[in-house]
Amino acid sequence: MIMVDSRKYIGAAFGLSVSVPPPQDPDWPGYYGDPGAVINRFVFDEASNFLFEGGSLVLGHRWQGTGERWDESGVLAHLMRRSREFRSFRPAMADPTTGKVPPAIVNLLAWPDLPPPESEEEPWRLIQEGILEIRQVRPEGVDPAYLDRADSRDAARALLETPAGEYLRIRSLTAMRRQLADLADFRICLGGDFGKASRRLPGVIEEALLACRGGTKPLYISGAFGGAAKALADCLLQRELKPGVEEMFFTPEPIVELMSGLSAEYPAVDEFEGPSTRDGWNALEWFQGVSLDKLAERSGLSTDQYINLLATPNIERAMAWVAGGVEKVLRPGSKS
Amino acid sequence: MTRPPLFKVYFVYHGPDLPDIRRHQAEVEKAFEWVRQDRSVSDLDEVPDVWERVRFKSIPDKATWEAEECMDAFPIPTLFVVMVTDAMASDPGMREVLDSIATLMPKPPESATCDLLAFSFSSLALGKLPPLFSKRQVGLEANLGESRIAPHKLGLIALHRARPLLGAKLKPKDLKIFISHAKSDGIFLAISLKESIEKVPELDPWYDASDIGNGSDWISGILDAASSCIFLAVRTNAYEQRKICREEFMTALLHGVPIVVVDALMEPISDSSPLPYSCVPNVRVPDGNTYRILRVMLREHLRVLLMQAMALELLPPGFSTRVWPRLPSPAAVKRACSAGKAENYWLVPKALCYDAEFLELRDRLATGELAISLEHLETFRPLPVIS
Repeated sequence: MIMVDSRKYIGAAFGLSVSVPPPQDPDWPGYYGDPGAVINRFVFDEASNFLFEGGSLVLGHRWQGTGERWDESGVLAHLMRRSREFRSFRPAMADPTTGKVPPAIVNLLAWPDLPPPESEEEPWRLIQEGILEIRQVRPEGVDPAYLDRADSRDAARALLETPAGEYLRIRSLTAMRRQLADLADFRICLGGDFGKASRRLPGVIEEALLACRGGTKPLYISGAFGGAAKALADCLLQRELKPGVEEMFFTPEPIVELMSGLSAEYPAVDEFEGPSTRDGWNALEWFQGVSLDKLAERSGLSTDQYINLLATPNIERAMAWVAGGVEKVLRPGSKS
Repeated sequence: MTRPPLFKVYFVYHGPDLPDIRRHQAEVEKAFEWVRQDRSVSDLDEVPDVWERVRFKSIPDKATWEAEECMDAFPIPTLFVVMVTDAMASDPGMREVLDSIATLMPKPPESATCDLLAFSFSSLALGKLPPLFSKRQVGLEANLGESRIAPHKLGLIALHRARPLLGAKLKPKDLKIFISHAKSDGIFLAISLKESIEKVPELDPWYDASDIGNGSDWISGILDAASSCIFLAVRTNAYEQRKICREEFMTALLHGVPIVVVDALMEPISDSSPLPYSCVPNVRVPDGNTYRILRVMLREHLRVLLMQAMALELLPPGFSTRVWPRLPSPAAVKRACSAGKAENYWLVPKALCYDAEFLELRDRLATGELAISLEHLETFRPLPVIS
């Protein structure tokens, strides 16, 4: 009997910060065509591979897609079916002390988004089987009774139209991303749009910030798909950013006002929850001060390799660096 | 995902000639097409296919040619199929296109990643072009009645010419088509296939009665050919009952050569078989169209070569890899390992693996003496080396 399990990522939790970037310049060497279709396919392939190799995923994904019901043709639905298939042929990885099997996919939702109701058969079956965990994350220090008022989509919509609701949604997103950072052992940032007008920071940038903040977990950023991750890569490489791109690292003025107005009533946990402004703390300066050597070291790569990861316009090559770095972190003595 | 092509086919013709050459164009395009498996399934359920990365492009005029990427920038294997006509030879714009194609042809052609397949309706037209076009003309019988180069033959020749471009290390015998059959009931189809192959210029069959010399050891001759040629099994009722046929098939499996099965069973229901027919492409020809078999055969070989090219794309220098058309059996693993020199990576297409078997085999290889890493081709990610 062979006493070996050669799956590469057993027990490792991966956080993927990926969203569709703005359209690219067709003359850019990394131009890859229709961003929506490409990103969907890419996320599915890479995430399937992590699951196949024994890893788990930590996501902050809207289970409804663009509609009201469970998005059965969405990436999350496909990934869950995939993780169900992969479970059948290897012993489950139960925790030795509790005997509990960790879920293959943890999906966090920011208040007021609600987990799927029991009437949504497919996700509920997977939740019962322990493959999926979906839960809502709420901001700290806020009266639960107030947050409980968003118990339906209509009630949530109504609350979000109030300044407090809008502010608490921003805080919830940050709290969710904070938990995503805590739960994931590895974070991979790709693509990413400029974010909505009501954002604190674009999702990909905020997730990278919170993952980087702890100073211990591997963080892989690739500019290959362009968007926010490319801006982040350029910032880490101390390249000059275009004025429009630079705005990604700052909170829009109306949101700064909103956050300042309500911060006394609902105080932020620390500066990483506050607005990013030109005259105060800001994400741009923070990232410019990050040491590439340290980032590379904790990601299992040399500094040269990390610079290659940041700069390459070839996504396959970027993912090869990620795979090599992850392997090095998980198995420090490995060849690569 | 839109990734750079692994192979390019340019179909060059004179725009106004399109009504005459439309069928040739369709056949060449069909030879290299990517057939999506099932359009009713979601995009995410589709299995990645190397044929997605073959680019077919028609060049009807100078403007289209000039809009193409610079050939020097991407050393991607490329085949030019040029339909030469009198009108084309007299058109100054097209002459410029043809001259620039001629300058792209490397010398000697054997070591090239670029080839030219000229097809002419007129020897006068060919005479007006650089001599290279006459040298790479598909055959002199181009206009002669039944044996002329009909569109379907042009498609096959294009597929054949693509093989050395993708497989630089291929020897002439690796390109031959081994016809494995039972003499008792498969000889008729086997002879028909042999003749069909011989009628296509440049294609070469391996047929026991013609290719084994007098007085030589015929069993070792057969098994030697089965281990290197591409393998065509004519599955008749007697096929798997013949020991030598089973051995031929197993030898081809052990060596990981491309295999295609021609299903020539008389009954609609077949018994369980000792041979794993379902792990290779199967073709039926109820209409007797043997060219369909040849197209599937050449495409299967090209699929393996495209997979190899895909692996090489990511492989860092100093590492070696071997692509298997399907998950190797324990016997194939043992044979490959007993040879002593092993590659760093073995790659298999994800779509053709059952995950549990794949992982078990990977465990065995990882703990074996040669420490080979078994990977899925589509997710193969070796750490790149900085040059």
